[in-house]
Amino acid sequence: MVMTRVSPRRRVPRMPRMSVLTWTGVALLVLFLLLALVGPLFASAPDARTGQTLAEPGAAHLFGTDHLQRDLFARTAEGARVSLLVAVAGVGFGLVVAVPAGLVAGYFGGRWPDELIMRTLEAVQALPLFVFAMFVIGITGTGDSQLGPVTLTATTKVVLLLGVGFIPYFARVTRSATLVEVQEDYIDALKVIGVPRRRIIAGELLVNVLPPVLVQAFLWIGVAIFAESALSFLGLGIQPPRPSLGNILGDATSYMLLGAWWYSIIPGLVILVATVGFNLVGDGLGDALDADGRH
Amino acid sequence: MTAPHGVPTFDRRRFLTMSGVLTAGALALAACGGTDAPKTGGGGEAKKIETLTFGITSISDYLNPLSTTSSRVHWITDPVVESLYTYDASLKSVPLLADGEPEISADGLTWTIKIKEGVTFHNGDPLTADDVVATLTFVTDPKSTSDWTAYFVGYVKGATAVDKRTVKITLTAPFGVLRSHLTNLPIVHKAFVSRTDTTMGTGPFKVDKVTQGQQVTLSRYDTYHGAKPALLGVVFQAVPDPATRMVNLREGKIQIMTDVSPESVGLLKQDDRIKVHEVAAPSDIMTYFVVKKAPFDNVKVRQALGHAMDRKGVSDIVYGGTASIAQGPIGPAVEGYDPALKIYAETPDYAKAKALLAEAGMSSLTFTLMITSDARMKNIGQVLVEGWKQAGITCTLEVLDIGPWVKNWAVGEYQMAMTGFESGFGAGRTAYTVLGSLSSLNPLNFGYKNDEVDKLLGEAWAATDEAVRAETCKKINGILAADAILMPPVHPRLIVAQRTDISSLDEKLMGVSRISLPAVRSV
Repeated sequence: MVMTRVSPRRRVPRMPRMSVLTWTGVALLVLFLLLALVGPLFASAPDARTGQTLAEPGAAHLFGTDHLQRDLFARTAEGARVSLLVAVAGVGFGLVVAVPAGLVAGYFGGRWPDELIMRTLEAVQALPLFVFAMFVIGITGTGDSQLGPVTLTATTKVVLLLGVGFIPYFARVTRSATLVEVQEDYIDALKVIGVPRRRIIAGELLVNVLPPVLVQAFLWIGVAIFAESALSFLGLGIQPPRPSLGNILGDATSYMLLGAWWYSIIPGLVILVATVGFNLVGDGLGDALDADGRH
Repeated sequence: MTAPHGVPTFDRRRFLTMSGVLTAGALALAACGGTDAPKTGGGGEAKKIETLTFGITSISDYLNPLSTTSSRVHWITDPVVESLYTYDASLKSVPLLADGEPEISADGLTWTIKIKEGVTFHNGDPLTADDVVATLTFVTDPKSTSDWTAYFVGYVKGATAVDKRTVKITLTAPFGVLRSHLTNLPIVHKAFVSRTDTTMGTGPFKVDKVTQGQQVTLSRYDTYHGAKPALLGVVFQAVPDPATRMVNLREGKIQIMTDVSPESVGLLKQDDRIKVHEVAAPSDIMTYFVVKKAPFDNVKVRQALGHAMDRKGVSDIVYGGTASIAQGPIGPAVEGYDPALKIYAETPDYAKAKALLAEAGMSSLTFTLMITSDARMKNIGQVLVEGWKQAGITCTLEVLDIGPWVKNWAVGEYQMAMTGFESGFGAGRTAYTVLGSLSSLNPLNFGYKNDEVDKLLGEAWAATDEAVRAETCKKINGILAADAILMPPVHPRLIVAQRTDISSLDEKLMGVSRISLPAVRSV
């Protein structure tokens, strides 16, 4: 017997009129994405030397140069790309683990699988991300680590750390949405006609709880960029010479008082633009979803 | 918008708007700020400095000069403790706590040293042979885990007090370099040899207060046996950030700072209230290969790395051109330096590096360089990585805090390792720190075995004549450079900055890493 989808088809969220803040977010996000995705195509190699130490921003070097004579535009663009990729991968990893966990927990709301999953995730959530990161990096070091046959690079470790840190939040949102969805009549109908539980969760519930989870995930990309930057700033994240917004900012702190204002301000601004941009756009998407829910 | 109870709400959107406005405001203010213009001249009344403040990168939790040879500890304890011998103005070893030259037996296996009379510790106890014996017993005991142990192990059999004023040191083999070690090893009160919270010596200043990790306060010891210092006290203040140290120096909050970043030297030199000392000192970049494992068991691979090393890049970019290009491990401030040695070019010779790799049967090379996490090492590492990349050599940096770095280094858990070290307090002008671990019998040996080097090291450490030792070390340096063992890119200078309202520090003594605080006075 071929099953067809029986759940009520959710309307595609109709975009309400976007607020000025959302437009600002879109503009900031476009700026950041242009820098991160298009910037590296037009920039020199991020490690190439220009022959000028701490040169101010100008026509030759749009963002100036750093203390090792490297073009800061090239490094900031590459750093933004690395930070974005790490953030997206971290959020993606978090989603891959959290969504199934949240779905199962929500489906069995109040029963032992729900208790087991949620208490476990609360235990993970109780560990502050940075303390957890220091613990893991302290044991494994900042370089490559061997996990059986798999080599974990510093970048992979950051992705996994961020992902693990985000799992409880994503799982909670997924569970909440699932708890509401399982009250719907169509779920009872599916159970009555004998549709396997696995099919109900993966085929019906998943589709219907994804929109709020994805909006949440979008918001968390901004948080992930900020968290990655903070880890790299502390020397626990992306390792030199590979640039990331955080390690560029970390290097820059020693040169702020020597007059190299651009070295700190520019990567700092890029982090600000990214986090505020993702937050404002995520907020706008949330509004759109709420408006759709009200309809 | 107000909540039903009349409490104003503060949603995320409003928070973001306000954050944006505040950030824009802060940026505008920052943009208006600009940099501090260097001061020339200076208004205000000159104030006599009675207590000097010394800005240092960190204050160790272990204030025991017998545990470590690190300059971070010894800069603090140097005015507090004294050695049997000291350096005169020409860096010659002369008696200080010893009463005259040592009597060395004809076979060179016994050294008898008389102790000066009338010297007292800061608690009033007289200096006796027992204190010297306690110090030597502590540092020669491997259980003490002291850095100093490596300076005596295998050579010093023991020390005994013949009488209250005479110490006899017995050796397993002639050990002429012992004179240098005794010129650097502080003599500590016998009750303080293993204490880590403070120390007690016979020097011109005594320890008053230790605030762990933050500050150490010294005051003048009024019954000091030598010339009384002009200063009433010295405060060592931990200021980890070099830029903050520099600002503190310019504002007069500190009078001396060490670990001056080469980038700030230019700015400091423009300020006529500041004097910068750039001195050739035993300031080493220690690089090690694990020679017993591939790929660095192959001399051609190591040589390829040496030829592709961007020495000039490190000197120019990281040290502002102040560091000298290295050929071998021995630098210009150390016995055995050979200015005529030319094996590696200043700029990388990629063709030669590739040819050597090909001879070793490799088309490319990938390895990990383990470095310590200080900014200087990270900068050097990045310049080297970029240089090697041009020769098809891929190097990944593994950045570790000093604790894990030392742990991995001691057990040989690395491929190539690099860190910075000022060896003047341990080895003076001798190359003992740099070359010690190369002896195949040394516990810190990393797999290098060369019978000729072993023989020459034995001769160098046995020699009592400095010229003979220097000549022998020069030969070792040449062999090591050719074998591409211990391959620093440059030999950095010791950079210290001081305010001009105190008398000039003695640059000669900086040649052995010392900052001559007892001689400082307000001007």
